[in-house]
Amino acid sequence: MSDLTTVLAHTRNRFLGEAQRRVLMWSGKDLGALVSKRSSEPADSFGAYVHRVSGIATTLGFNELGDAAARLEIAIKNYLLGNLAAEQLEEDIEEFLTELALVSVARAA
Amino acid sequence: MRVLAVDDDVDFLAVLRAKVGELGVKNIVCATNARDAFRAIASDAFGFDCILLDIKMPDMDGVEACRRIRCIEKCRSVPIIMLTSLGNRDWIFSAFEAGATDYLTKPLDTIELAARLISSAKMNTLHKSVQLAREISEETALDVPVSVLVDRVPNVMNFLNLQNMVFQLGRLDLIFLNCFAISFLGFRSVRYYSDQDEFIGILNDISVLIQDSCDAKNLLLSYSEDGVFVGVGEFSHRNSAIKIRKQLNDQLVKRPPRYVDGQPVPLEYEILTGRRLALQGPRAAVDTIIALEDTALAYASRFREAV
Repeated sequence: MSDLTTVLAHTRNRFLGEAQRRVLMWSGKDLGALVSKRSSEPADSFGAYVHRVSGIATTLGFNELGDAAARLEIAIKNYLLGNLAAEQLEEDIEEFLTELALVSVARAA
Repeated sequence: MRVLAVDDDVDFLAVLRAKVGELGVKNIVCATNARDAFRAIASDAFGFDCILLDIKMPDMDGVEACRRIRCIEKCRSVPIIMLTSLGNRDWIFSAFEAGATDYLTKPLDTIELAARLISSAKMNTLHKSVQLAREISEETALDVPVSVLVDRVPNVMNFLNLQNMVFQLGRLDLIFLNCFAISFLGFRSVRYYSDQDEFIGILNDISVLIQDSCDAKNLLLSYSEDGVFVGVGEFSHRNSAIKIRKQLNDQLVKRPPRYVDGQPVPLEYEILTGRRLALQGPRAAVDTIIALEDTALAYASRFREAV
């Protein structure tokens, strides 16, 4: 295996492990409450994680998840600016969490 | 090629390192925040050939980091490629305004990254050769008939300025640009490159009054063979152009007109600020820019031969 293949496999594994943990962490939580309106959001917060996923998911081959994360990132920004209703944001969050659950299930399988 | 990659996501850094490695770049230094990046730059003896910089990072964002990197003497001309998932126009504009050379959005496409790295490397080489030419010409005090040296400029606004400047050169007598590109090129003093003695007096007057009146830095005054004046400088005050216009009026009306085919030609000039040039819209002057680059490279090689 080439360096790139090894790194991709390793990173993918770690990414999926974290996805599983995040899915468990956020299951059953109030979706709207996941998005913080604080300007100094901690790096491991929901918004920061969504941003990270939008940056790397597609690179790792999870295109649908990457797209959902990119959409959600924009939705969060619009919500915080007051341009998007909470219901619409929750729909986007749900879509993102569904995709996240799907990839983590794939790993478990 | 030595590359510095800065991203707070260690997973992304690992993938990036591997992908850049696949392109044959083995010398890649990684940093997970801006401060580590500054440390890497400070401790690096050879200088990086390219910096890949994420925008959204804790403590200091990539745009601010880019701005600060540009203030470091040895990094003034290093290509900085922003590599981020933030693709909206505001971020893109801020990044270029801060001195970024290029902007690439995630997800990372290896082919596109390769193309951008190659383009950056070319630009860096060109810049180094222009800088070398300038240094050598200063050392040897050669009288070089270059009206303007053009490099690819580090941000969108300057690129528009440059395109406009190239477009306007043919019909304007005098162009002043509030142009960061000049500090990017590193002109430190006023120099004249011409064999047309009749204009040297005017150039002298202009340079004296500009420097006296508006604290212009990095000023280059010159003119092309057909007598087109070119003045490029970085001005510290927004109203400098108005001041210069007024003083030039006072100064130039006192001078005798120049003659073409025995007929007096009034000296017409216009002062354009960067903002005004940008408002005129982008002009496709790429061929001219490429020709100027070729000229710059030709001069660089001539200087080397001369030395």
